[in-house]
Amino acid sequence: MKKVSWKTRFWEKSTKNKKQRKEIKRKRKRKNRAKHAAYMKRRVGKQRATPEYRKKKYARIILPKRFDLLNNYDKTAQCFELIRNASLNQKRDVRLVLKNLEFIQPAAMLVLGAEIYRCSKIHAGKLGIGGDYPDDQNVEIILQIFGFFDLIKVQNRLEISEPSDPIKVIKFLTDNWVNGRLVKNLEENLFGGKEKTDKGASGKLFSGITEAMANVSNHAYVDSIKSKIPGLRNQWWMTGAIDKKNQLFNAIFFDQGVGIPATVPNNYPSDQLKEISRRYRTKNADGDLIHAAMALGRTRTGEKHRGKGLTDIRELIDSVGQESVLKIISGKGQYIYDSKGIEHAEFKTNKTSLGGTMIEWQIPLGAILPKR
Amino acid sequence: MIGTMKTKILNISKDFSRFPAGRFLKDGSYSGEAFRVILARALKNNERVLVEMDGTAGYGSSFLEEAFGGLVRVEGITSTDLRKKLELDSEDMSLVDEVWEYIEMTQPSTI
Repeated sequence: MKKVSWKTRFWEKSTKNKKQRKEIKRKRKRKNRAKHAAYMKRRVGKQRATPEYRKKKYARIILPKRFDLLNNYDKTAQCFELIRNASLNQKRDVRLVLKNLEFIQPAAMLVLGAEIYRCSKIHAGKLGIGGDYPDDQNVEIILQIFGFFDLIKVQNRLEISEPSDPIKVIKFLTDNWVNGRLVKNLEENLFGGKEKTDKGASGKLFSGITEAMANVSNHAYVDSIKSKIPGLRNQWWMTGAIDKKNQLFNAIFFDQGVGIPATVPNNYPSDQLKEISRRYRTKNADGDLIHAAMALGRTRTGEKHRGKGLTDIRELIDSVGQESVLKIISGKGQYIYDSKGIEHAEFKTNKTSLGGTMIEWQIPLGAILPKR
Repeated sequence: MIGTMKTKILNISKDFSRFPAGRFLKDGSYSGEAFRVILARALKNNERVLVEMDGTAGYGSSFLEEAFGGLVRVEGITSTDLRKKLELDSEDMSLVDEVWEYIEMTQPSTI
């Protein structure tokens, strides 16, 4: 006769039938699963997870061939959203696949660098963003000079003695207060410190960028507008690039604040907003709101002595004139302004939010480096 | 002409910063508010003040408005008094005009 343990005998006696026993087992399994998940959550939070555990839990994000906010906005912005979601919401490690990267726009590279910077600071080493190397060596040179591999804690492979070609880039700069000195550093790093820049253009660039920094300090990180994504308060990032082929100079500034569209409806005078809406036939989408803010030029504080900052931002374009362009991407809105004026500005609304405000000044290189 | 009056010369790039930027003290160490405090003290202790504006990397409107417009709005000095006591020196006359515009357009704050 088969021996039955006392446990089985007790179990059969205390339950009515097989159905009840199945139900009890199911509840017990569910309870244990929840207990195990809570235990694993506590364990991963308190100490580094084992390599096997992390291997299963990382998010793999493949960058598109063309990483460009102007010509491939949706796919590029989607990558930023995936990184934020995986690292900051789901609290997973992230692995960036750069293998297929053939072109990386300096502005897109700055936003990517800022996202990685933020995630590293917030997780303080507990969760990481890593990646591999691109197959294209030109792209790898640009990423290395920018400081990208330092951010993802991957070794710099190449010995670089000369600037990248045909786009010359520099390492990104970042801070969390209005630091005018760094604007000078940007010029010195890009032009080598020996070349004398045009005083007028350089002065307007300084004024535009420092006003952008002041806007970050006073408007970008607003307590009244809650963001789902944790941020680094008042932090901004900046870089520069020279397109040697087309003889263009680009200065790029980025912050991860709430964005211009989020602040416009609540903080600008409603009568002026209605006038802009009527005049330009706008529909309150993000692109329209940036256009309204640039046209209004008034501050969110409503104080008459404030609000010229946005005018300062476009002054460089107005003073240089031809072939100079100001590009602003904020939230889902995109705004392009050239020296023809506000009436001719182009603006539109994209599907995906950038997760901050990016300002790019593009002027002919000859305007800032006068011919000798 | 300044003549024999007691005049204080303030050179922004040498006595304050080559990179003045931002409006409030919370924005940074070389903000308009920080310079305004120095300028107001100089106006109080001297008959005339000459501010030399050349030599910096540039000026944002926030800095200029807070530094000079703030003399009227916050420090309570009238634009008429400033016309008598304050002199601005720069190769760029549009910069001087801009500053005077901030001073003239600003109303004292009513508390």
